[in-house]
Amino acid sequence: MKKNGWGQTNRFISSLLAVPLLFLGALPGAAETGAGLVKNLTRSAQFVFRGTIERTGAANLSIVEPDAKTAIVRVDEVLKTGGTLDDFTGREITVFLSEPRKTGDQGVFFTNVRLLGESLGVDEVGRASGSAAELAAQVESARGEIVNEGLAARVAAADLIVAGRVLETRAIDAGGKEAPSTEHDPLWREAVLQVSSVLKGKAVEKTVAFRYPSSVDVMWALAPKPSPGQTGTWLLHRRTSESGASVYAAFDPQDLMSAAEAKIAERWVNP
Amino acid sequence: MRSHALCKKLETLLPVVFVAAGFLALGAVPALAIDVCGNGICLGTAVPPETCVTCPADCGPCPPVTVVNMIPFAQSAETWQDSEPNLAVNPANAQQIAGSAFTINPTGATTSAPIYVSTNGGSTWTMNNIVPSGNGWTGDITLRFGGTSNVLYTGILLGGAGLTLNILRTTNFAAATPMTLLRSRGSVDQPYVQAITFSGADRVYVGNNDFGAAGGRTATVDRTLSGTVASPAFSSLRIETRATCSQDAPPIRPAIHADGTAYAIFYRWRAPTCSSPYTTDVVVVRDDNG
Repeated sequence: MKKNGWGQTNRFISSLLAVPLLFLGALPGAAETGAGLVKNLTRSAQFVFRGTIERTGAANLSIVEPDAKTAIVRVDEVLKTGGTLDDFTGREITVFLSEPRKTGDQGVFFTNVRLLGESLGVDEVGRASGSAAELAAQVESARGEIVNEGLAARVAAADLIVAGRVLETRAIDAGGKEAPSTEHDPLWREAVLQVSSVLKGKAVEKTVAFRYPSSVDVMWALAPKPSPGQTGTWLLHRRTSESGASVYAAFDPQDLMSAAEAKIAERWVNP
Repeated sequence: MRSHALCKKLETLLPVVFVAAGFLALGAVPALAIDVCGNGICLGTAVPPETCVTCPADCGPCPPVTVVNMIPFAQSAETWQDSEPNLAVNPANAQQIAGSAFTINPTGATTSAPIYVSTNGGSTWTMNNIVPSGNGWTGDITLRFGGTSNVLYTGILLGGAGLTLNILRTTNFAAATPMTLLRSRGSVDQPYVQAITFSGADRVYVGNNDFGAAGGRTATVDRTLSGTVASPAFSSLRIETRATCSQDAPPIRPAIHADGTAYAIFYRWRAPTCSSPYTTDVVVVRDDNG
């Protein structure tokens, strides 16, 4: 049910329509159409879903005062989500509509999450025309492209990308310089990696040392924490240490590639 | 009401699991008062049950305590370190409460971080992603309302930007509009905000440990006497006047009286022991002119 396009299950007017309902008019990038628009909307929207308008002028968050641009929408299928957001499939959420819609309308909603309370409150960031099935396919395709673009940007920003096994982690000499005393001190340590392959840059030795923040303070909690024996592909960045030396460092949560990302990056390097 | 003051309430909080600092609780469970004396009234002293005989006869039954889960139900499985909570009640409207912690934007978005908002006196809470961020959460964050302005101010360390202080405000803490940046500078730790409305203007004070301060006198208060104007002018007031061990301790906490008198308290790390455990003075300063 409701998997094959606009309005197929619209309770009020489905019998009147020989063609799917369309959301006419795109908001951002109005000059753009088709896959290009969908890709831009998918990029700018955190939460994309196929849904059905259950009630207009309504909201299911107590903090929201319903008006003509709020609607309770049932999430029929989540097409893009992120972070630790719960699975809202089959649940009703509040949508702050970019333009008014009618009860029973179905479509793909490109939204950003504004509120989380008794339910979810999302801002519609734009619309694209087409059947729900077509849009869902375009969103899926766009997601893949966007992920690859992000990976390409990370690869481009890295000075050295190496795969290998962590031999050891060790304390470092701060060179006699003391950093300010703060709970946000990264507590830099050094990992030594036995290099098995180089995807970018040059590793002269068979081992590469890089620094990482060992602190679990909120500023560094998600930074990679290499441990002896761990294998992986690392994106390393040149940095100047407290003592003025040029060192490699990994500090971003994404500086340790997932296995799938590493495979993609390898294909780029060795097509 | 006397009974409330006298009663030592013993709450059964077993169904409640406190997260991180014990501030964000899982499960909205009314806690139970225990009638230790078995006489239909709650206990009047601190150490049950030996002192039941001292229980005042008129203390009456203990009221139940309601524990409200600030984490949205759908996110109750999250395990991020929601540390260092802070809470602000609007002096002009006690129904409006804002909370903060190191909570991450659960959507995965990196451009904004949430605060917790309640418009019904804390009965229900909603996460509102209105704090500008570079990674989806904040470093430090504290918040306060102005006295009568309904403006909410925050002092944060910008997520993803190290020790970058941002002072922000919003005129509607429940709205979607991102908070407005009022001031930003680097090498700062532990911003702690206070605000009052005085003679019709919001005075905003942000205690902070400014590593850029000369001579290691890092205890600082960033202050504006006109928080609601379009571009408030801030001054960095150095409240440390003596020698330190290259810096003061991290917490610098202002407190403002309704008559405009401003206070601040901090730890001075000083000789002879400039390493942990430091030789420390507890310093309180006052400015009679705000």
